[in-house]
Amino acid sequence: MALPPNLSQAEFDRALGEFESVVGSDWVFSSDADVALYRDSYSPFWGEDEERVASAAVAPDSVEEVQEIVRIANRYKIPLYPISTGRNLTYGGAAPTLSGSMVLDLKRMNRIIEVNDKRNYALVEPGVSYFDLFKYIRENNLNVMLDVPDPGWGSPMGNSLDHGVGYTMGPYRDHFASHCGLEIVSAEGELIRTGSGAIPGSDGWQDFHYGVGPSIDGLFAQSNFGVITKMGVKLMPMPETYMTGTVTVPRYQDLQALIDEVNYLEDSLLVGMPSYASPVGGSLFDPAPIAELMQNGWPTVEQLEAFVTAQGKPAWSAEFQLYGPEEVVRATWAAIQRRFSDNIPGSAFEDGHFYNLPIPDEDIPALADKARMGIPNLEIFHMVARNPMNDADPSDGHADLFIMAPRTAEGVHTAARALTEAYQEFGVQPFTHPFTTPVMFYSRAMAIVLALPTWRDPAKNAVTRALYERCLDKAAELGMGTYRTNPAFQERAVSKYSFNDGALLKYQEKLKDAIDPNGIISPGRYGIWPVNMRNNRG
Amino acid sequence: MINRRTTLKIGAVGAISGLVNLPAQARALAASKSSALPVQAIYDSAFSESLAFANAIQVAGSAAAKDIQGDLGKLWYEQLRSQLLSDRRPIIGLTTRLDLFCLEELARDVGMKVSLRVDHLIDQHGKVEHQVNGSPLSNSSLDNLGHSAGFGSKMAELSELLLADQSADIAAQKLTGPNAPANKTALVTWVIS
Repeated sequence: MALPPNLSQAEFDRALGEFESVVGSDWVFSSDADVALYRDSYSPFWGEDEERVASAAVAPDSVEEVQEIVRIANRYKIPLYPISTGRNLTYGGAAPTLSGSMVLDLKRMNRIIEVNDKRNYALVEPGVSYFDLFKYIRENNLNVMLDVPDPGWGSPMGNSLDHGVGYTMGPYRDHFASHCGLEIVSAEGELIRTGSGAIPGSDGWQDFHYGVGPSIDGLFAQSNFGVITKMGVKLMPMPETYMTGTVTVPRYQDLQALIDEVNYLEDSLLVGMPSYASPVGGSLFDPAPIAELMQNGWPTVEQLEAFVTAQGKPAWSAEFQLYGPEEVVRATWAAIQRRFSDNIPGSAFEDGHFYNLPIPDEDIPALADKARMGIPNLEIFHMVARNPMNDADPSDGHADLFIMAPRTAEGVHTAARALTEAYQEFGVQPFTHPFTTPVMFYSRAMAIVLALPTWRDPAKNAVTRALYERCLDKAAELGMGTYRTNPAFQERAVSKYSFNDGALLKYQEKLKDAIDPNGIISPGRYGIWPVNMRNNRG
Repeated sequence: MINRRTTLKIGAVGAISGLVNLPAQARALAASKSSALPVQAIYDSAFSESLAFANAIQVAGSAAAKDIQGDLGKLWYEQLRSQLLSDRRPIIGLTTRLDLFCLEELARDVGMKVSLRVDHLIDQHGKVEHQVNGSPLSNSSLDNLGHSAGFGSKMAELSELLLADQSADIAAQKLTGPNAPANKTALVTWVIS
């Protein structure tokens, strides 16, 4: 395994001894077999020199131990890469951004400090998983619902700090937006609490997370400015019921009107995450129905309308998630139908599921879509493992790329066309097509989703990396970027946010230099290098 | 679901050696650790070989066999993790490659890792290829397992040998992703220790 940069084996051994004196020898991992556990299983550099690998790992049990570890790391100038549960697959997993970093594994700090179902929040440590929090809420009959990502094996803290997302109402499924208060160990080992948590004796930390003065919370998401040791999570009161309903609109050119209506409903907080689809476009994993249509390039609008007519199906659909008392969700569904009938000729409606909440334990296994009801699960692996897109040559993993498009039909179509062209340049079956629909993980932005395959085969990974970078470039030409990416692509993704000669990154680097002068916290994460390693940039 | 917990006491090494062509090193290893520790066995009743594995473990008087029942997350977070945190003895299983992939990631929570795996790739005609990693056992030593259905129960008979063989070879770690090769079913017998 790698050594930390500019450190001899003897110096590193001494440092490991000091780490052991803090956490005990059982919780410092330096054997090849132990360190290999932190490899990124989906790495697009698997087995190559450029694969990001750790030098060792240390797993503290308390805030005080984190502070001591940070102080030791400063003395030896050892880069630390904090992880909560390290389940961030497709975005780097548990592997550090810079090889030779020591993983600061916070899995033992897994205490659920409080779940309050009157003021609707939780306060948790980094190692608490969504499964843990769900179990705690159920066992204690607490009247709150989680918003969980897919898969749900990560931690609320880690997912939030990486701008992770879920499936329910807009304010909750944007996980960083729904955090309420941070406890931070600074890069120099000082303990900080944000917002009302900075008032000694405050009982309102999770109620009012701004406090007074500049809010610094955002600096700790997708960054390398400190180690978060506690975080508040806003929780939705357990809705009395959950209901779904689907709207279809008939024509290709109805997408803009559909989006306008969905935006109205989402921004009015009337619906949870809407799920767009195209009944004529096939599923995300099965674009076969339109392959023939694409043979002669991107079709004209007239060709697309003719295709829709020939298919005898609606062009677009949107499924709505409704949460609340039964009389409210049924009235909302009626209002949705009225609005669509008034505004988009040919709209049709289909009632979906209806459940009283919370779902009894015995009924959970049979649920088709647990995440939308806040139930963590691992079922997405089964969905992704085998599908028509990868049957011929199944990959070993994937590097996801979400291109964030404006909430317009033009935004969706323009992004889909550019990404299709990128794939075609590489002779790869495109993931996108004229009926590509956005995913609304964020209520105010549309994500065009790509999952590029990664392999144990370096030659295949080289193609994936080149294609991924080409997609980033094509999107940036349209003024679009991504929201999250594997360390292998973070430099390039960040480089697209280059307004005014890269003023944003330069400002972040100034902060890095002031906050973390020895550059010990996650050097290079999202393109932010400390001054002593800035020659790594780009 | 099979959940009878007894002490692992699978057949003697002499019986095992009829099942595989053991190299001398492996025989010596198994003989030196012939009384393996109690373990938990993990299986997936959706797959006949995996179910046969669990049944054979049960018949042999092995440890508790736990069925994934399509929900590894529930099994891990509600049972396995807490058990392994308090008693970190090896576990063995015959599951899909996908479930091993997830379990391997989860096992880091308790500081355990895949120490040995025997992949069983089943093609559309039912022909089975076996491939071993992380063990002094060679691939040819598994020829006696045959190349058709029925290997699940035989792997159970080998479990004592597999559990004794904790060479901590990192070749067995993160060997594949979760997906099966094209047109094949990918099952894996594994030890996490």
